[in-house]
Amino acid sequence: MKIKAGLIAAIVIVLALFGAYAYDAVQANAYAYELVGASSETFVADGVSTVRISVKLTKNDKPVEGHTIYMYASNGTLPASRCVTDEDGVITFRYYPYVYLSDELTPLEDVTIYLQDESNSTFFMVSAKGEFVFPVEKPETEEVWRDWQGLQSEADDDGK
Amino acid sequence: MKENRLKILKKCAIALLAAIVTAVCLIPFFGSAGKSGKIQLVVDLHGYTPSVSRIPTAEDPDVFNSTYYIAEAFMKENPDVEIVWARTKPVGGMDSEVAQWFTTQIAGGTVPAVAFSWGTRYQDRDWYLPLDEYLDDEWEYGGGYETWRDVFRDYIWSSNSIVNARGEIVAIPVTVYPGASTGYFYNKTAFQTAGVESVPLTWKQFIEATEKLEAAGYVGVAPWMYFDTTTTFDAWVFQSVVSPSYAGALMDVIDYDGNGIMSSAEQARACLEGVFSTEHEYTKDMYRTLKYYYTNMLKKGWASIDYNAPWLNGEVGIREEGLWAIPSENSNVVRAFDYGVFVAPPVSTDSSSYVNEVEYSDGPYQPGPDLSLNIMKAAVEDDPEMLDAAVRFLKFLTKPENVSLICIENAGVLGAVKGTGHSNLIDEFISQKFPIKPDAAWPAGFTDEYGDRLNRTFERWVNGEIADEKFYAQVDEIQQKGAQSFVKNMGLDTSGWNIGGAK
Repeated sequence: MKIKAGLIAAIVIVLALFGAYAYDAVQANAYAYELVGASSETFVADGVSTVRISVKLTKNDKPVEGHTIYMYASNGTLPASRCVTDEDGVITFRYYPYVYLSDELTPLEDVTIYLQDESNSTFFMVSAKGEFVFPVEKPETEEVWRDWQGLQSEADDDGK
Repeated sequence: MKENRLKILKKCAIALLAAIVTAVCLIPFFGSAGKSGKIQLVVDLHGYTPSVSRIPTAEDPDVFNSTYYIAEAFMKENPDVEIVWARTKPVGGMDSEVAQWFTTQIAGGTVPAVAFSWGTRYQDRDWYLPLDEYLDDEWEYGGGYETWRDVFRDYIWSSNSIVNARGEIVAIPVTVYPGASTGYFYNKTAFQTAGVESVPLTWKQFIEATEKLEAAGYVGVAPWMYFDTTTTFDAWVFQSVVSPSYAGALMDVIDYDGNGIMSSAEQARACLEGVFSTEHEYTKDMYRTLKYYYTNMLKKGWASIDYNAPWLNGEVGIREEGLWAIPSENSNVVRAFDYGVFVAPPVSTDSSSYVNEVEYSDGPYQPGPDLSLNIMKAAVEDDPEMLDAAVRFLKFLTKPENVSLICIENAGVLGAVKGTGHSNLIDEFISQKFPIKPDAAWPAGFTDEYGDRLNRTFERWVNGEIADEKFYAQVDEIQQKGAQSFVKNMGLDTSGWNIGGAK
């Protein structure tokens, strides 16, 4: 009798957990990301450009405020990996592209920016996910960066 | 009988398991050598070793690929060499832990041929191969440079992290800190509320800022919490704030060859000649300045306080932190205030009559090496092919475009070679004014053993366990013995030194 009760309790717990997970999964599917804007549609792989990207988070077509969005990129640098959506459901963040040197050393590849909502779940972390792919092009010149000691000289010149 | 058999079986199983584990561990070093017939160049790039995963994921977003790409390109250009990454090193470990790892690797014949060990940190153990002759090799990668040496920033060859006490270059610099390796993160709202109008440029201004912050109800300054259980003499405040100021004021005395740089041999000589002795008031002033930080500026019981939550809650005015924390601080969505970062302000004439006035430069002033690589004697001795491969790899690695690749991906460093790029992430930081620090440092025990003793003695003094006079006597003895040990280990010629004489 005791074994039977224990078994029933275990099944109920498993079902409850499964239900909770399913609830969060369904909820996550109700969210959507929309690319609101990017300061450049194509990224230049020069390692020094800055691209500003804005993404809107909605749930059932309505903006979602106050959600923490975790971001990471397939290549290049995101100065911040988390942002919070504003009242319009928008996050705006910067992205610094990677450096293209040669086809052999650093092959040109599209950049994918991945987004995960860390605030949409109730029981389990089932993030609403999104991703945006940006084409990348080679820099026009081979060396576009400014040497840091050169920057110092410029400051000295300005002082004069 | 049956029990005996079981015991034997158990022993055999353990032996077999141990043999398998050992064999698996040795595969990176020996396994592929036999198969490929190539020179197996074992390389340790410490924190710059490529990540195992190439593609970032949500669970593991921090991949590091540039050194992987560089190694692949090198192997294509040098098909006789195969790079094998040394991945067993305790990256993030303390000095002694890393030293132990090297000792074990050397004893086992598996030490990397190219390794990171903070430049000259273990120079008294005679592990490093002098590299001067290779730096005079012709530079084959263009850019208008004649020799390999010419590729690097000129000032770097005077760094004590690159040149040993015998004047030999034993490390190849790849990246340098962006002006400083550490700084002070500050709460802009707290500064405004407390009436701190600008970031401090001298240690005196720093003290006043912390006092204003404390008066306004903030934690004035929170220490870096990695070394969270001990008061350490040779920590950041000593290295960035106190040591360069007090040692720099002694340059006329300790720069024996008059080249404007205090070498580690000159530092040892000055110590043995009594320049750093507590018989001088300036020495006592230096130790007292450092003690004041721990006893008066930090909160009581600071070692057991977790400042993370107070910082996030906006209760901390200034926080001691490494610049590597900028990306994570940028990503912090809990913090409700703006933060800034300023460079550690040195002790100047406004707080001590024993130091020189601080001057500032626009942008980083001759920043010290971050990644610098040694060729380990034990790996290349009696193996000219291995040595040749190691030199070829280091030359390839220090091509300006390769260093740029590393700097931009790392995002927190600058190039040690000329004509290199860096990440936008540190643009704001390197646009500040940086103190022009003299090429001089106050000794911190000279060797691992005496450095450790100095740390412990200083802690006891700070905690009030020993009186001033006893501390001064002990610290003099430690510095003297440390210098003697260093001189002996390095085989320095002390003829002409006025050892034991008063200065």
